[in-house]
Amino acid sequence: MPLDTITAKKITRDIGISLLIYALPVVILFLYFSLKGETPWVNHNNEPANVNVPAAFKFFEPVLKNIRSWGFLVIALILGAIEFGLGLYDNKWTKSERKIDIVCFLAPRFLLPPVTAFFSLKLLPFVFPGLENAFSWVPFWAGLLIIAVADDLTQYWYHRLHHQVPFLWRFHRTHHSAPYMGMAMASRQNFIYTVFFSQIYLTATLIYLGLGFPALVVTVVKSFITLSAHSSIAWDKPFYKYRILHPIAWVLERTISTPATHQSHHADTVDGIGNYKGNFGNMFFLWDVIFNTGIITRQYPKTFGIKFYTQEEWYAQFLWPIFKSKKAGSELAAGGPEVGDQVDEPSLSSKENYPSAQLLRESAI
Amino acid sequence: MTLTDLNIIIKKIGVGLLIFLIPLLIIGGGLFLIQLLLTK
Repeated sequence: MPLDTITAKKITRDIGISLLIYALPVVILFLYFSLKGETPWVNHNNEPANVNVPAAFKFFEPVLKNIRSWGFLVIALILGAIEFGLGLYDNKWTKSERKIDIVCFLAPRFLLPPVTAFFSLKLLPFVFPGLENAFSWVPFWAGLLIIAVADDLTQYWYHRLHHQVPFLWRFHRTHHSAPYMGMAMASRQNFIYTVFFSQIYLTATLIYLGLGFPALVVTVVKSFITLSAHSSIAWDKPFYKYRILHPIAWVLERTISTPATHQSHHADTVDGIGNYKGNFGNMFFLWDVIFNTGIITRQYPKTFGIKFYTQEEWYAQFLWPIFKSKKAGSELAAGGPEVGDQVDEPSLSSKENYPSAQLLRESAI
Repeated sequence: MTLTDLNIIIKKIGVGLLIFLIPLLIIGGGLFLIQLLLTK
């Protein structure tokens, strides 16, 4: 199934804008050093930046330093336990869904580290010899800006293309097949989608080049935001309920992903509250605002998942197309449709169709 | 897994590689440029 012309044009235009956004932190840094007249890279011996974790956060340091391995696991388990305590999964966490969630949660923790270790410890020194810590002269604030934009905008594009380019959809489908939201499904991905996550390798390369500490801080913040956006605990509700908090809500929902905006992305409908054809942002929702791919409704969808779901086997969901589903007609079966639940994309500019949606293009930033 | 599947995986890796390389070139190239242009 080819990519339709309108979507292709919009993708091309938005990629052009993205190139400018990627360059922005570097331009700011250039202006900063131009004005200050400093040249910290002169006499710089490619030493790693020496940064200490503030005393107040010392107790949490091991979790932060190991966020990509067991640190993430600790946070997800705590949040998951709260969700189960509150009974937020209803009866939808069936045996087959449980199996998929657990495999997708645990298997990458063993399969991914050897790949990323090879990339960081062998491939990068081979491709960029002598450049280890070459940019550790970059000030911490600039490193934060560079990594936050680079990592999250790259993930936005990786994610958006898996929704908008038909041949990529089935690699991301597993994340959307869960008929519920919560910690159980936050890591639910096809392994091929996970192992080729572009932003993992981009951030690893920037760490190799000397932006390690800013990358650590961004990863921690991003983990909290993305996990809480996937959570079934609607922590953002009070911001919409109390009028006094509305100005904060206005900024918050346009800056970062919240349960309302991200649950909308996981809805099984495109009805003005659900918007699985948009709301692609991971840490920042700002990208959806800039590229006009999101809607903000301050409401939560009632049902989640995908319409064209045949409860495929765990191995097909985790390792398609290496293993195929035996379910006839499934997107993951041999000869199955590329995009099974293809629907006419509604025009989000039509308020008549979706009166509940607070359309981004009408609410100027 | 068929040849068609392998083709899809290769195309997917190609897309991912582009998404990885473009920002790396902009940021890495930009930081090198800062060093070049501002070193007296």
